[in-house]
Amino acid sequence: MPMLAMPPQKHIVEYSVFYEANAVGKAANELREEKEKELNQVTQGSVFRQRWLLVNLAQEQITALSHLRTNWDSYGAPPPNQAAIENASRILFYMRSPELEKVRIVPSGEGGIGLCFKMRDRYADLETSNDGSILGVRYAGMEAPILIPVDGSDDSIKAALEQIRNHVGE
Amino acid sequence: MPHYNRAPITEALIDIRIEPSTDLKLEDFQPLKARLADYPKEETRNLNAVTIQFGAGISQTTEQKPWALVLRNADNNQVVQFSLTGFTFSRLEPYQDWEHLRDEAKRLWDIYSELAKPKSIARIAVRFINVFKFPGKRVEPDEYLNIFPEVPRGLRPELRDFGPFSMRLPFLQLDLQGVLVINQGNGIPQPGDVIIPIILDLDLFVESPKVANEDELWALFEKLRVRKNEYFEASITDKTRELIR
Repeated sequence: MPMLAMPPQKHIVEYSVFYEANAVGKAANELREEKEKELNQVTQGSVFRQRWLLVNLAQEQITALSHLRTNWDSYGAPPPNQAAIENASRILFYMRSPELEKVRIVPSGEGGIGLCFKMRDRYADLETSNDGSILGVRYAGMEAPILIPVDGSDDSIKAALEQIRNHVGE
Repeated sequence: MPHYNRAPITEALIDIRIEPSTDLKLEDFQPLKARLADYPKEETRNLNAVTIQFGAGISQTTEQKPWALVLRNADNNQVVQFSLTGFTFSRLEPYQDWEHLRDEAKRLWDIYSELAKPKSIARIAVRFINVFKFPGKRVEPDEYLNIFPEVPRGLRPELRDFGPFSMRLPFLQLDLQGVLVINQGNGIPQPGDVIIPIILDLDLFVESPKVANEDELWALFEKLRVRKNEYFEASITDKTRELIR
């Protein structure tokens, strides 16, 4: 009875039942409340578990984007492919809890996934493209955007997140 | 319990929930920062409060409310959370030992309780979250663990593979008047790793502990620690001991 390693985007399912329960009514609410209570117990106090939950939620959003169809924006945009999803998941792995709380995950019109951070007039994002590349940018107010170099290595992702942390704040 | 040089402890925490005696506000914790110079990094942690209004139309608003003052040390391996309902001290990797964890938790608790002036202690917990890294893309769980989801033996071999999984098992601790919860499931693999990370999360808590003073409180924590160790040792096999020794 072996335990299996699964493809990265399918690893994280611990809390999906709670968020997939879209039913309404008393019984559904009771089920949700029960799941919510269980979730609170699991995350209570733990820094590791709080982050784990945030990674789960962000991963769910990334996985959901893979179900987009071509022309999802009515301008012919392709859906994010496996390369974009895997790179976005890699970035999540190196994000800290405050960033995971802040991040907005959106599909890119060019094909890929954008991980966006904003605090007052400060903005930064990392975009994972369908061609496997990662592009970062940051700016404040009306300033000209500054590129954040990412060569795809783990170290460059960590450095990019550090730059975003310093720019947007934790 | 034997000492493990490569202990898989990702987080060890001591948690105390209280019933506050005053009308505490989160801002009241700000002066604590001056007393905790060794925790220079502050995190603002928010709770998303969603309000859904039904009427002629349905509207939804999401408001972020701060719920705790979270401070980290410079090395990012010690975190203290002060909230209106309690206090948590976490030691992240690399774990040192129980004595360090307990002593630092006690020091921080003294600072917290001086300000919060708890009416009573509502709950205490000792929690150790272990992440084992079993080599390979496929492992036989019983080689490494004595606790895991049991798959029906009548199933054909090709139908018995499972994962990822999540399991929560509460064990009543009658003598301690508490509950030990084992949360077990898959961890998040590091990109590129050929391992199966499995979380073994031991959470032992006592609600409304019957302690008359601080000495009794910390003596109870010692008992919780001993019990937690008993469950940990019983949960792993010698093959896992070799991995972490």
